[in-house]
Amino acid sequence: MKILVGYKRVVDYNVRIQVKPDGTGVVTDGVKLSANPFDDIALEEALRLREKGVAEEVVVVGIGPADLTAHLRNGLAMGANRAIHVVAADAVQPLTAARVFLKLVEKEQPGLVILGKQAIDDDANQTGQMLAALWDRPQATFASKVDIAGGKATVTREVDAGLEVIEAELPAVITTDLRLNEPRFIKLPDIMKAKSKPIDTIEFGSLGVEAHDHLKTTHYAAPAKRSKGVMVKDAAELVAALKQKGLL
Amino acid sequence: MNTPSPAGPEQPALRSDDSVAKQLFLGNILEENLFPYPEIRARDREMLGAMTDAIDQFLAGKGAELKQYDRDAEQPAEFIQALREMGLFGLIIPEAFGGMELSNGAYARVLGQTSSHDSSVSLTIGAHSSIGMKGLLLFGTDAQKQRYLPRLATGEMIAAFCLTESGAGSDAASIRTKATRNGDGSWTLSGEKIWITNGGIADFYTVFARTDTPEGKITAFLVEAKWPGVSHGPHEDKMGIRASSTTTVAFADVRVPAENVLGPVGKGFKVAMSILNSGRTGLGGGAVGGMRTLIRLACAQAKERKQFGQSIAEFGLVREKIAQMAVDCYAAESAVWMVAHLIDSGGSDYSVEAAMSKVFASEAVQRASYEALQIAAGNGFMREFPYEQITRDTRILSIFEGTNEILRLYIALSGLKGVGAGLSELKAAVGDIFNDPIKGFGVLGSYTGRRMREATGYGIDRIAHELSPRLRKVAATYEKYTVELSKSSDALLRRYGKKAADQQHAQKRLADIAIDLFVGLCVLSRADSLARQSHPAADEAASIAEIFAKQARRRMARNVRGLERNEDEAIEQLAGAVLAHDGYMWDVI
Ligand SMILES: Cc1cc2nc3c(=O)[nH]c(=O)nc-3n(C[C@H](O)[C@H](O)[C@H](O)COP(=O)(O)OP(=O)(O)OC[C@H]3O[C@@H](n4cnc5c(N)ncnc54)[C@H](O)[C@@H]3O)c2cc1C
Ligand SMILES: Cc1cc2nc3c(=O)[nH]c(=O)nc-3n(C[C@H](O)[C@H](O)[C@H](O)COP(=O)(O)OP(=O)(O)OC[C@H]3O[C@@H](n4cnc5c(N)ncnc54)[C@H](O)[C@@H]3O)c2cc1C
Repeated sequence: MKILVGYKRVVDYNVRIQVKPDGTGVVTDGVKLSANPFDDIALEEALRLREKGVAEEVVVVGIGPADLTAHLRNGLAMGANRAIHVVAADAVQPLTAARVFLKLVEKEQPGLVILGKQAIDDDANQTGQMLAALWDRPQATFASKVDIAGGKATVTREVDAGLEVIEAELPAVITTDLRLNEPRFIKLPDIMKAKSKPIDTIEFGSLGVEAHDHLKTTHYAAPAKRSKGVMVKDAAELVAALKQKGLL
Repeated sequence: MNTPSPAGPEQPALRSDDSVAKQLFLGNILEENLFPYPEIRARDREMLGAMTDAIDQFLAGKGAELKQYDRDAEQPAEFIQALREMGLFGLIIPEAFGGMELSNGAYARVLGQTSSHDSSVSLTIGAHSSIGMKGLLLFGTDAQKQRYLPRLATGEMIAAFCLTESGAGSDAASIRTKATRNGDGSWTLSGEKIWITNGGIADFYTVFARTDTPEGKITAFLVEAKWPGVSHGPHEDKMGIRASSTTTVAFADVRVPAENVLGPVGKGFKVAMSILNSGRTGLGGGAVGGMRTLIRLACAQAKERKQFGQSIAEFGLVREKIAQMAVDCYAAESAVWMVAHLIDSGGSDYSVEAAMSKVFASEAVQRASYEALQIAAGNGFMREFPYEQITRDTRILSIFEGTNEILRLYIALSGLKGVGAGLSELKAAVGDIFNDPIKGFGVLGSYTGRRMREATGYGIDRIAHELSPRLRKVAATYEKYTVELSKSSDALLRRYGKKAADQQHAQKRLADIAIDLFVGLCVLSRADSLARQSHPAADEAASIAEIFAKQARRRMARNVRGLERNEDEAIEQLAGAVLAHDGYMWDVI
């Protein structure tokens, strides 16, 4: 079986995000970029399935500008067999991404597509679901445990009420939740090995996908600074203060 | 003997074979080797980002353990195993032997990253690569490489460098460990080495022993720890880099087969010096990594701490420390990277530059650890915070791989030697009329006059490379003091003749001028390149170049003056008196 893994590059989760002064976006120049953490989890899960003998090939997919190769090399260093780089100058929205994945699915015929449940930049949480719908295959979202056997994926999901276990017939789309696994560290020799692994580049324009922006971002704003706390003497004063603010 | 470069084939060749540093003593700025500032190789650029990220991922979560290893004075076996798995023992070994074949530049950068977390980690992997097995890489036969490099690359074998003995530290040529040749061509090795980094964990030793063969006095050997007669002492209880293994290593009639001689018989001293010269960028890279951490800690501390109703980051005396740390770090990095590039480009004469970068970087990180701790003040003194450990850990850097005193003398004497050779060339040109050219005043007078005319005086552009007006002013400082250095060197040789070799106070001043010139030119060249690339921090780099030049100018002026007017004689006498008294001789009672 072949597994396709979405591998998006985002602003590193450790970076303190700064909004551009004109509110048109966040500052990415000179800012550390790294893999979307949920995508690292997706790749880790795919690698584990390959190590268990369930899959033979793991392919990481990135959509982005020419310099995305260094990022895809990280996926290869982690252990993916090869990478597909869909070269697109501008960021794509979830529906476009899902359409790109559909094209790749048609070409690659994977038994499984694993994506992050969301990317930490736009937090859209849509691509996996849209891909499953376009592909007309089952989806198992927010996976916290995955078992593959007999052409079926048994997926545990963390829901409000507890754990939900579902079965999906393959091929299917799985999206990963935070507790699915802990991604492995990259070792230095892996970085060397990654150098000789193939990266196929496909021009976005050649896929026949229309980059339609269904959503328009009008404005970005930084979260309001937390105002200073006030000290109160005792419970009575606290109640009074809360009442005064109309919170009680 | 030229030192072969382990670098890969894609290195651009240097445009001049001469040494930039030695040329400074002759009044020349060898700008073709300095401008433009070397760029990182494409292969390294691609991998380095990933490697430094991987190292951060590996070490960032281990802060508490690393601190414990310092307390326990040992890296436990599981941790050494984790270093092996991480691939940290194969950094500079060719890919064909299972290593990563990093250039010297990339290697220095990787050690910088490990040092930004923990110095002992850097030392364990650095002593293995920079000195422990470097000799095999530089001088080994194919058969020796085939036999050991694959195991050294994985860390299955860890390497150590065994030169120092109780009677032979700086004077390494005076070692007593002896190897005698047996009838069958093998050697019998006996003696004891001290303070050997990785001594307690190594499987592979590069050992230097007195052989007193017709070919020469010292020979290098590759010795396996498991051979009969090889043993090591307990881990030394050290001030800093405590987790790094330092032990004695003893050889009791160890039989070493003929095929384990490293390099030519009798040429071991040159082997040792070549290894140390080429290993110094690793140490410099480590120092830079330490400074990056100190600057980050100092910024956080200064912004966080409030006194007198404001953050202490707003006070001039705190800001001065932070800016100075940045100047020092940038300067050290610029010099270390330049030297790494000189080695990577196949240069054969880089030992003086390597010594300069080692002296500067080691002292810069020691200044930075002092100042960062000072900003944290009381907190800095508490062991709960990292400053005290960094202070202890970086103290070694001016002691080993050549003490900074020895390296300063080496820098000055190497420079003077070139000046002296210039004088004997002159002698050849004018025939044999002067028995002692160094004292041949008349000819020398016109010789230096010519040299000074060639130097076209002060303030006149000599660096042809086009520079922005801002940096042009910076360049003028170095142009002027390069001439001063050559004049002072000439003057010293004229005044003392062969006895110049004994003038340590003067040599120190010459070395310090030369270090300021070399480091300053590296800073200038890099600032120029960053401006051309429109680097986002190019303006700050240009102001570092200005600040460094102004500070260096004051130091150089003082040193030039000090060569003429000084209290050296009085100091010599006072030292004599204090030594004669075995201590301080005054009291108020
Ligand atoms: C932690 C640690 C790890 C080490 N690791 C290794 C290793 O892996 N392999 C190895 O072979 N060695 C190693 N060494 C030894 C190290 O290289 C020596 O300590 C160093 O060369 C200095 O020698 P010394 O300590 O004997 O000092 P000395 O040579 O006794 O010097 C004492 C002082 O005198 C000064 N001095 C000496 N000669 C002169 C001179 N001619 N003119 C002016 N001043 C002079 C020195 O600068 C110094 O200040 C290590 C040492 C330490 C502390
Ligand atoms: C081992 C030890 C023993 C001690 N014993 C005693 C004791 O017995 N009794 C006692 O009362 N205290 C004691 N102290 C506290 C000691 O006096 C303080 O640590 C010292 O006054 C510095 O204060 P601080 O550590 O809070 O540093 P801070 O005041 O926070 O200073 C941090 C840094 O900012 C600089 N700075 C602060 N203000 C300015 C300014 N206006 N302009 C420029 N720079 C500024 C400082 O010079 C320093 O570099 C002890 C401390 C230690 C470490």
